[in-house]
Amino acid sequence: MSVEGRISVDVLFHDTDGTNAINVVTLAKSDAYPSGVVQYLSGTAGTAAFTIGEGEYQGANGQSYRNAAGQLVSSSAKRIAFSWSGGTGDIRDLSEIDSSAFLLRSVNGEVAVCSHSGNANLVMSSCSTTGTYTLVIYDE
Amino acid sequence: MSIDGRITVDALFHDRSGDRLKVLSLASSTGYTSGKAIVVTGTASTAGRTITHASYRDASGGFALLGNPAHIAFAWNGASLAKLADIDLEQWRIQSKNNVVAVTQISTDSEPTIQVLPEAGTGTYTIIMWGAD
Repeated sequence: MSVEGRISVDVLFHDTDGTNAINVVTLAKSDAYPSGVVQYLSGTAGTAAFTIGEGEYQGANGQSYRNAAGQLVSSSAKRIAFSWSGGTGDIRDLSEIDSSAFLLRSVNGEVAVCSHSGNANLVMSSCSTTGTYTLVIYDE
Repeated sequence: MSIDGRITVDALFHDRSGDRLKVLSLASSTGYTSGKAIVVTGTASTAGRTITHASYRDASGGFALLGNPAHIAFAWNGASLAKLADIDLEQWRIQSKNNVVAVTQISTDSEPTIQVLPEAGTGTYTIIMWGAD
């Protein structure tokens, strides 16, 4: 099965004087992916930290990566998007186990995203509230 | 002078074969009508580039501080990954290459000292931070 898709990020701020938008700062890029592998993981999480394992490895919470068809897939990653919705204002972190490559933070369902090169054996930090999380991991 | 802005992330993938199209999507868009946004641009090499709040510039090019930095966006134009990290508190790290934009929540009550760390080569970076008043 093949996939196609996109990841777009659009950051734009400007001053306003009531009628005009002036002095714009922006970072925006949309990347289309005509092929590759995408992994998706969504669930609920308690307050304790937990790991999310590669392929058929079961993480501490019993979850594993599956593609759009529900099949288990490996978990190398070129881009990782992460969102967390816990209690209002409660931040949750996502990082690669035993690595200083990335450490994404999400709060109130706002998506964090970054590039990566390596596997996606991940750990989600502890948090003071329970909530739901979603990961989308793309590999070429 | 007031500010207006947005941070939008939209990730969407779908199958190209099969009778039923399966869509995977993760997206958020947050609008901002107050606070401050700053931008920092520059060059870096594998030696790294440390950035303090002295480099912050607002949209008009003037010096600006963020009282409560909350979100950061980062793009690096090199072909190899570069990491942007909070080197004081080590609370967040994001990576970019080929100008692909990375975004994360940062939520801190002070101006972070951040560092651009390219894996290889030299290149240019752009950083935008937004903070509440």
